[in-house]
Amino acid sequence: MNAAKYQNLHKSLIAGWTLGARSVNIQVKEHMLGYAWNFIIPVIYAICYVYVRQAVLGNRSIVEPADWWDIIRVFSGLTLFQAWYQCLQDMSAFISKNRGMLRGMNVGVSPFIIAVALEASLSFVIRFITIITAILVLGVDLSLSSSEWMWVIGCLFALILSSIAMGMLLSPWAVLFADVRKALQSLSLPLVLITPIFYPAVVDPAYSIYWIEIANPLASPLIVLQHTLSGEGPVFANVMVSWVLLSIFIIWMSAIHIQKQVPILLERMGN
Amino acid sequence: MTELLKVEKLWKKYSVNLKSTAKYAARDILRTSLGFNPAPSELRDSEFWALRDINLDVKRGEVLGILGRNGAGKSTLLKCIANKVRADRGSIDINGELGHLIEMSAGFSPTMTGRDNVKVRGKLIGKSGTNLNIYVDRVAEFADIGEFFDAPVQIYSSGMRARVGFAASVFIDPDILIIDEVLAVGDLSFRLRCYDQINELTRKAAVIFVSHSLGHIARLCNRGLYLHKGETVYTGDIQQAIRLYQDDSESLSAKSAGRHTFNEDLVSMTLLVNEQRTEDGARVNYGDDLGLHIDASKLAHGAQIRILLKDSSHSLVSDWNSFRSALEWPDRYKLLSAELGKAELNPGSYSFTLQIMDPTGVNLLCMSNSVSFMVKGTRFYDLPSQRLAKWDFNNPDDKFANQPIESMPDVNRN
Repeated sequence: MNAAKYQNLHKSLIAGWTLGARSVNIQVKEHMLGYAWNFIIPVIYAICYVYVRQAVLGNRSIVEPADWWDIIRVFSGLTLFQAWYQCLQDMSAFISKNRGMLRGMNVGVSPFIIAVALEASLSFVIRFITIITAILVLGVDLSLSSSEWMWVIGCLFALILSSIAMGMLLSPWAVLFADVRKALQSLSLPLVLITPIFYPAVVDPAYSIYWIEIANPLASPLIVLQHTLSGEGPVFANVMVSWVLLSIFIIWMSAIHIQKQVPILLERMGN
Repeated sequence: MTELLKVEKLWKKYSVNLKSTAKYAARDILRTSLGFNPAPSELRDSEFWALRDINLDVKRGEVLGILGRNGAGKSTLLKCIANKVRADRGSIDINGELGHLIEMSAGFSPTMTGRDNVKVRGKLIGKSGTNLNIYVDRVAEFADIGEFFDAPVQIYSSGMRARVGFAASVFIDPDILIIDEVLAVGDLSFRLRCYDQINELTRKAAVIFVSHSLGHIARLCNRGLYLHKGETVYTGDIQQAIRLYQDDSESLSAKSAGRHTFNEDLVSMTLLVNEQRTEDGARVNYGDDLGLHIDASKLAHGAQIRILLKDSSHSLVSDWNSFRSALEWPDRYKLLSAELGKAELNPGSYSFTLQIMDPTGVNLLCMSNSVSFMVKGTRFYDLPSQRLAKWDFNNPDDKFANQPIESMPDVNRN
């Protein structure tokens, strides 16, 4: 990498950090509960799940470790799904959201992508800490080896990368067609339903849901995470690694093309 | 001088149809994703050329004013140069750092204070530490909005927002500066400071300036580019560019001058220039004597006649009222002459209109057709009315000549 490129990258990182910090600052100011929303909603979902589960199972109390892992799977799945989905939405909307700055300032496109990525990373980290805290509060055994911790962190990276990649892929189309945003909103519930959040992962290729899990970028990291945390080993790890590589490729290609695409999109958006 | 910007054979097209725009943009996005050029360089259905074969170059120290009516392609040209929209043909070579004053308040978060927004802006343009603090202080001082600088932007008036936006954008150090209609900001004193700041920037950079204000253009620019429907009409001396632009505006103004009439058959008039009757659209030199011959035969006895002088934008420049002049109506009348003094007007297109009121001055009886004329000459600043004063240095031997002004006798004192 030559000096000019390094300097540009450094400038983009600083600008990205500034925009990310600004966005966090705005969110904290605009919402009374600030970042607490990151865990309030999953907690509400988990409580509802526990209630419904007990009602369905005839008021059987939660005594078995498997029951706890069941609840942790729902809580962690929903918590991370929301962060993933938020990042997907933010990334797909970054051009239209920042069109004023993209027109009015000479900062390029990269800082805006970096800002969304940083904010998403922060959100994932907060949610991950929340999940670990919840596990410890529930008194569930969490004795992981260092390699298992690596897998857990790898899952977070996989989730961040896939959400950024999908968001970047959609971002030009979201500017051109408002249907993209509508479609994203409509697909959130089906996505939750085809992801092993409310039910355990299916690891048998004989079932069609197994193949849906493979095609779902959200499923494999969550399955690896759930199985690693519960001490069952990183099932689906190869699928997750494939998704990581594909995500990196998509991000790389999108970053190259988006520089040329933004002027077309700014023109499309008008004044 | 160093050539900092060179635009060659630049063409830009737009689509007038929203569906087509989305369709073409989608195709262009797909083409770029596959590594092809974004768009074919020929017109597609519902597209038109917004810019055609534009060539220009700007050197350091030059201030290029771009003139043209709405839709002429001025802003499109600036956006192409700033790489905010993509040109379809031609090349733009930029040798140096490009700065622009376009959408200056863009990115200001309403919930953040002016200071915090400016800090973010400073960081985005690469300032940090002491430099950042100096930048924020300079912006605060220039914007001059007092304690509001530390209040959320959402409570700012549009003027305050524009002030902070301008101040935050103008403290830059580019080689090429693009300015698009940004000087109509704030009150007079703020605008004067804006001019000073722009003048400061123009000493070090090449500047491209777009404005509908001929005064701003004449004041700031030393070269002109006149665009009409996306094509270059003239490039060169700024005064000549302004003259050509005004000539075109004149015909438009003449066409629209008769739009706002009422009972226009009641009265008619002829323009006199140096006591000679002239046709509508006459050319008038600065300082020529102006007058009107008004056919008042159909007017009621004692009617109030108001002669309105308007500029090319139909803004009122001056008026002459028969009531103020205590005009006495004879028993029989037909032709009424009005001597209006000298044409001490900035070059441009003007028109006279007669407004006839009843003798009480309450009811409008008639708004006549207009008579237009064009003042020729050199343009200075933006005010339409520019009177001549009698300038004279005092004799050095005069008893007041060597006294300080404040010690001179004051007629209002006592």
